[in-house]
This record gives sequence, structure tokens and C-alpha cells, in this order.
Amino acid sequence: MWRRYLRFWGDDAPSDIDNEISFHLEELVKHLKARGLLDQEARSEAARRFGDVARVRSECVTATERSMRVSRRRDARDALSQDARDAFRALTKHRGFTVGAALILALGIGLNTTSFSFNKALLFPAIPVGDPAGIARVWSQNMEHGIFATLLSEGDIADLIAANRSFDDVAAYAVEPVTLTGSQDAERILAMRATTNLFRLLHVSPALGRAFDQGDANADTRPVVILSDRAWRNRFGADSSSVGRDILINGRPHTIIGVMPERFWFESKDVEAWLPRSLPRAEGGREPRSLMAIARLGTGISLDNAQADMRALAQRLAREQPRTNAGWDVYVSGLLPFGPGEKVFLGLVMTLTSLLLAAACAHIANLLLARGMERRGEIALRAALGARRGRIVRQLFVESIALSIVGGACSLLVAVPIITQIRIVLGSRTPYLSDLSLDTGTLAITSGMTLLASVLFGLVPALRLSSATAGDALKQLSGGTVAGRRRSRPLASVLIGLEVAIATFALIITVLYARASSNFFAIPFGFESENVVTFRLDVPEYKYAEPPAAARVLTSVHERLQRLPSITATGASTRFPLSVGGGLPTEAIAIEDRPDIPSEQNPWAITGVVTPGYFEALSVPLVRGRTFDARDSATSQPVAVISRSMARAYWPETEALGSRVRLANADASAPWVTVIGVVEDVRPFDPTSPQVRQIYLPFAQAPSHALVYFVATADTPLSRLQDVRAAVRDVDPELPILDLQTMKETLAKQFSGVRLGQASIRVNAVIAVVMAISGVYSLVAFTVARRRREIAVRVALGGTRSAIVAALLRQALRPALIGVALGVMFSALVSRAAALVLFGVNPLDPVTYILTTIGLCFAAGAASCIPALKATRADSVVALRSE
Amino acid sequence: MGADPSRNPDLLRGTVELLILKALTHGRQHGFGIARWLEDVTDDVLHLEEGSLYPALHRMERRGWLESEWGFSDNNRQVKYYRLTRRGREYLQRESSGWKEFATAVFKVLQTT
Repeated sequence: MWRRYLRFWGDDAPSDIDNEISFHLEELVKHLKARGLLDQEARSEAARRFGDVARVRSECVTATERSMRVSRRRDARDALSQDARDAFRALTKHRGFTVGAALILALGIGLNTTSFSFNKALLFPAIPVGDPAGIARVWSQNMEHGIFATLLSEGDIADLIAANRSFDDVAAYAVEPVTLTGSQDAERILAMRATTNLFRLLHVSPALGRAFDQGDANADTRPVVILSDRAWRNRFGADSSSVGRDILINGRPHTIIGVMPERFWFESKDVEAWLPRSLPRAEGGREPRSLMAIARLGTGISLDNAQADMRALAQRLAREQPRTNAGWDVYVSGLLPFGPGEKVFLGLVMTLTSLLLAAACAHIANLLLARGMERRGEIALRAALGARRGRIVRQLFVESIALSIVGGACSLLVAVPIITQIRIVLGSRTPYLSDLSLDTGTLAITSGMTLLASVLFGLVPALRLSSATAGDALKQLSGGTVAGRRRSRPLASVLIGLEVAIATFALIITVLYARASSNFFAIPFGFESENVVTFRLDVPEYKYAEPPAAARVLTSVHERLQRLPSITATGASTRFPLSVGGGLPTEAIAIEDRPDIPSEQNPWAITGVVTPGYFEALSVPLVRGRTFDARDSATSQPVAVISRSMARAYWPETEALGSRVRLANADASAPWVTVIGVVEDVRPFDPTSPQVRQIYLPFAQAPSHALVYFVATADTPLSRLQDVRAAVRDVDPELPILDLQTMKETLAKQFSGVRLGQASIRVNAVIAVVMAISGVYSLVAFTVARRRREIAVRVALGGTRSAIVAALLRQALRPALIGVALGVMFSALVSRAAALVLFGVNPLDPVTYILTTIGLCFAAGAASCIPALKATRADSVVALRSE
Repeated sequence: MGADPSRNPDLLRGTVELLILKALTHGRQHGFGIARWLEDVTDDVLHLEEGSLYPALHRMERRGWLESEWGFSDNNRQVKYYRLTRRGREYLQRESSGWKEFATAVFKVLQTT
């Protein structure tokens, strides 16, 4: 490119030398002939006197080339800087154009880079494991229960390892909080307890020491641990001699056998230690479903193959173990845990942003075309005055590039802050986004595309110049085309149509999505989040080994909190009431004296364990009966509270109160539990999930080591955070308080992804619409400007203003209307494919389509009216004279 | 200097350069003109290959002793003219006095034998 640029203007040294030599020889022949030699003699004498022409030539070329290189470079630099100066002058002269174009470029490039960087980070993250594409995740799911991609039971994994025909290796693991006592004070950290083949399966090995081997999981060997690089640095000062040393984990000595590499993480960057666990065994049971599983795909096995294999296994298990496995499927995904909803959504956002880039390119192209038309006179004049075409092309070329550079630089002002914001908001929850940054490859591609568009269309005027002589162009300029023949601008019309189509699509999708998300948030959660503080307590097992002992600690925290001033109610549960994306425990249940429920319709419910005061703290209304209180203890009659939907589902005609159910997957040895109360539904997954069959057990009868507390305050919840901290410290100062925040914050975090999605779609749509409307406006304004004289003549001859305006509008609105029609069709196609993320909004919702279409047509009409009306108002005499 | 100048290229080169500079002290000239001037003033004793002027001209131009421009010859043909630069003129003065001293010395030696 550079070389071509040089050749464009450089001297041609070899031909200059040939020129000199041939001149010399010819003159010499003439000179000799003048002395009386004959023609032939003169020629041979001249050749003799001159010497070896080829040698002279090559010596000259080498002598010159060195100096030429220097001077050529200087010439090219001069030419380029001249062009750059010209371009700069042209850009500053047409400030409106420049600002508009640079803005479009900045937004087009900036938003696309942001969107693609974000999507790339999610879809193709730099996961620090070997060959991530060959790793599959294995999940349980139960569509009947509305449970998508949840964990697996030990028994199911054991069967999966034994029976699969798709995987080379399967690893199971779970993340748990442990207490680590090492060189410093006791600390609560996250540890991953994994089968010993985990690191081998991930194709990673420790930076120091060794990985687990099979014997490490044996119960009778000395416990071992592998530390993360961070734990090793923070707690052991990066001392390599710490490998082999003992540390206390949950009060038991463990030998450090290895340290993982600095860059390594898996599942969460907060995991600081890995502990070995034994291989899952079939006797491990089908409940609870609490293990994660990943597998290394066999050679030539695709995810689909593996899925088919697993589905067959799931069906067999459902037949063999109907009590626990009926209705349960095994779902195989890639390493990245994307549900179908996320994929659809990412696809939707990518489609929108790519189209936005296309619209931005079209808009730029249109601006440049219009400007090229405006400048036809200037260019024709320069051509007529003898400027070479190359020189004009070069100037326009440099202008386009200058514009793109300005736009590209400004795009960073758009992209960098947005990306930083996304990283801050989502990075803490999604490890793949925690080092999200501007993807330079994407930036290069998007800038390259806009550059290409601007160069291509920037050069159009110069290329058109060649099709007509300069004289024609000058004539056109002076108004020669007004003779009634309407010269359409097909390219511009196509571009406008494209822009409008994209804007229509973006707008329809946005409105549909906005309606969907307002539905999403309009559906009541079924609990109150105002003025509620929430936090989590994990009682370390090494300190309080037995669940009752741990329960006593948690209960005394509960009692302590109830005594605080300005607290209206306090309760706790083993889990947060809502979990976006699923993952809540469900159990099959049996109902006493109800043989009429067929066994294939196993009754089931989402379970939760709560303390007295839980329903009051979250303002979940009681429908009938009573909630838990001090009467319900470990020794009293086992009781349960159920949701209204569950009561309706299993006792449609009779009274649920007083009926007895059996949990633990209807295990015959489990005790019968009496229903003592019915409460309103609380939506367990996200607000759109339909399944709200829930059963609550009292904490006193199902004690555990961890609780999430909910403290309803009379005043602002923030003022109570200190009191809550103090109350917990009073009970046991060593208890770590996790996630202490208001309920509102917790919910906002749960829904941050949804909100971000809304925002990104909305921003895209606004830009697309603004570009389309301004595109229509500029098309009309341009047409009007070109036909000003014609309009003036018509006005002078008594043409009515409305007729003239109508004629102008017809011309501009035709491409706009075609664009709207195309946009509507495209939207109908895409929105049906995206129905999954529209949360029940009809993808072909007529109100949305009609209002959006009318709105856009109206906006396009208004945008074209302004310049058209302006033109007809102008003083016709002035207009006539102006040309 | 023998009839075959390529035997002693350095000496010849220095000489040719001085002669070219001298030729151009009368004003701008093209290569053919320089060759004719040399032929006239040396009575054609140097038997210089005229072609060898050109590498010298280009080399000297690169060194900044000469500058060139395209012009038209008497018979209206495009031709490249060379002219002395200030640096070329200074070099000529410096070198020609050195040359004269050297020539005088050689002459004296030859006289004594």
C-alpha cells in the first residue's frame, strides 16, 4: 500500500537514465556526422566512445537509487502531509458533516466493539484449562418441575461413569466453605472437593509439587490439599518450602502437596484450595443432587452424541429408580454453562449490534455520497483545471481515512467506559467477565469495516467523474438537470431503505423485549424486599460438628436479632427465596391415603427449611392454618407448611391442613409430616417460572450448618447493618458474616444480567432509529437542495406548496416505506426464534408492530417535511438567483 | 593515466570528478555538453569513455556537489542539465589546489631525473 502510494507520485529513475544515455548517443552520432563520418561509421564510433551502455546504466541506477530512496520518501511525505492538510481543512470546513460522521462512526465502532468483546468473553473465554472444547458438563434436569441444568446425585454419577460410551474420563466435585488454619488466624475459604482425576481431565498440573493421585482419596491415608497460587502467596508468602508442610483444614491436619499455577482457576476465582474426594459410588444414593460433573469427550464424540448417550442412560435410570429419577433427564452442555435462553439472548444482541454496524456503514456511505454530490462542482472544477484523477482520488482517499481515524479514536471514548462498567457490574459474579477488556481484534475488524465503507463511498464522486467529462459535471452543477427529469439516486435510496429496515427491526425487538421485561418485573415475587436486610452464616463444622450444635448457634443468633430495636420480624431459611436460573432442591414426595395419584405422576415439591418468623419477615401471607413457632421442636410432631399452589395441585377438592406427606423422595422409612399451614406462593426461580409447589419444614426439625437470615426493619435497613453485625458477634465473634446487604441489593445482583441485556438492546435501538431518521432527513434535504431552482420555478409559476411538498415526500418516503416493510418481516422471523427470552410476550404482538411501524413512518415523514417545507417557503427570487 | 582508465579507477574517478566540476563552472550543462568541453580542452588526450561520465554525475549529485533539472536542448529535446552547487564549488577549489601541488611535485621529480 505504502509502496503503491510512492509509485503513484515518485520519479522513475531507470527511465530517466535511459533518456540521458540515448540523448547522449544521438547527439554524439550527429556530432560525428557533422565531422564528416558516414552514418554507419558514426554510429559504431559513437558506441566505442561511449563505452559499455549496460554497465554505465547499471552503475547509474545503483548510484541514483540510494539517493532516490531518500528523496522519494521526502516527496511522498510532502505529498501525504499536503493531502493530510487538505483533508483536515476540508473536514473543518464542513464541521456539521464531520461531527455527524465521526459520531456515527464512534457509536458504530464503539458499540460493536463493546458488544462483541462482551460476547466473545462469554462465548469464547480464555479458560485456563487444556482443550476446553473437549470438555462437557453433565447436568440433571427435570422439565416437568421447571428445573433446568441442576446438579447430579452421587449414585447417578456412578452409573454415568460405569455405563457411558462417550467420555474418556468423568470428574465430580463440589465447592464448599472450609476453615483454614495455617500460618495465620483461622479463615473461611472456598475449597473444591473433587475426584482425584479433575486436574488430569482439565489438562492442568500444579506449578509446584504434584497433582492428586488415586490413593489420596482413601480414608486411611493422610489428608492432602492443593492450594491456589493466591492462597499460597497470601498465606504462605510464596514460600516454596511450604509444599510438604501441614495446615489445618476444618481442624484436621492436611499436607500441602501442590500449588496451582497463577493463572489457573476453575468454576470460581474464589476457590483457594482443592481437596480429594473418592469416586462416586452407586450406594452413594440418588439424593441429594449436590455434585457437579464434567467429562472429557472421547475422540470423535460430539456433544450431541454424548447427549443421546446420556438421555438413554437417564431413561434407564428413570425406569430402574422411578422413585428418585422419574421425570429426570441428563443434560450435556459445553464447558460454558449456557442455557438455551442465554444463547438466544446473546444471539439476539449480536444480531442487533451487527445490524447496527451495517446501518452505521450505510449511514456513513450515505453521508459521503451526499457530500460527494455537493462537492461534485469542486471536484469537476479541479479536474477541469488539470488536476490528475489520481490526485483527486488520493485527496478523497486521505479524507476518508482521516474521518475514520477520528471516528475510531472517538469510538474508544464510547467503548472503554462501557466495558469497564460491565466488568465492574458483572465481573464479580461471572468469572469469565472478571477481566473483560476491549478486544483489539474486534476493534480492528469493526474499524476496518467502517474504514472500508467510508473509503469505498468516499471515492464514489471521483470515480463518477471518470464516467462523465468534467464539462458535463460542471454543467450539471450549474443546474442543468432541472429540466423536469427526476434523477433518482438509486444507491442512496437503497442505503436509506437498509437503514430504515434495520431501525424498524431494532425498534420492534426493543419494544417486544421491553414489554417482556416489564412483564418479568411486574409479576410479583411473592415476598417483600423493601426494608429487609439479609446475610448468610456458615457455622464451621470443625467447631460445631453435630447439626444440633450448629443449629443452637444459628438459633441463638436468630433470638439475639429479634431483641434488636426497630426490627419488625426476623426469620431465616436454608436458601434465598429466589434463584434466577434454577438450582433449587426438589424432592419427590408421597401423600398419605392418596392412592389415586398415578405413580408416573410422582408428586414432588421444592423444599426449603425455615425458622419461625421467616414468612413474617418476608411478608409472605398466611392463607390457612399457622406458620412455625416455638411449639415445633426436634421432639414434637413433624410438621410442614405448603404453598397455595401445592395445596391446589395435590388437594384440589379436600383440605390440605392435617394431611400427611412423606419427603426424602417418599422413602418408606421417612416419617410422615403433617401439614399445618398454607402460605401464598413465592416464585422460586425467576418471576416467570410457573412451578411454585413448595413445602417448608421447620429448622428445629431439620437442623443444618448454614442459614440465610432476613431481618425486616421499621426504618431504613442500612442503619441496621451495624446492629446485625454486633448481634452475630455477641453469639460467636468467630462466625463469619457473608453477603450482609439489603434485600434490594441482593435482588439487583440476581437480575443484573437481565438489566444489562435490556440496556444494551435499548441503546442499540435508539441509535438505529436516530440514524435512520437523520438518514431520511438528509436524503430529503439533499434532494431539496438540488432541486431548489425547480421548486422556486414551480412556486413562481403558482404551484401549490402542498403539491410540491407531496412530490418531494413521495420520493423520500418510498425507500423508507420499503425499509419498514422489510424490517417488519425480518422482525417477525427473528422474534419468533427469540420467543424464549420474550417471557411470554407474543413475538408477533400486533400492537407492538403497528405502533412501531406508524411511529417510524411518522418520524420519517416529519424528518422529510422539514427541509421540504423550508424549500417552498424560501423566497423564489433568491433561490433562482442563487444558482 | 593510461589509455585504459579502468586499471586505475580511483585516480581516474577523482580526476573525472574534478574535470566535471571544472566543466560546470561555466554554467549548467548536460552530459553530452560536458563530454564535448572535455574533448575540446584536453585535445582528446584522455581517451575517456564518455559513458563513464554518467555514473560520476549521478554519484556527485547524490553527494550534493551537483544538482540537476530537466530542460530542453537546442534542438528542443528533453534533457537533464547539471549545475554546480555551493558545496561542489568549494570542493573544486579545495581539490584543484591540492591537485596543482601534487602535479607540481610530480613535475619537479620528473625534472630532476
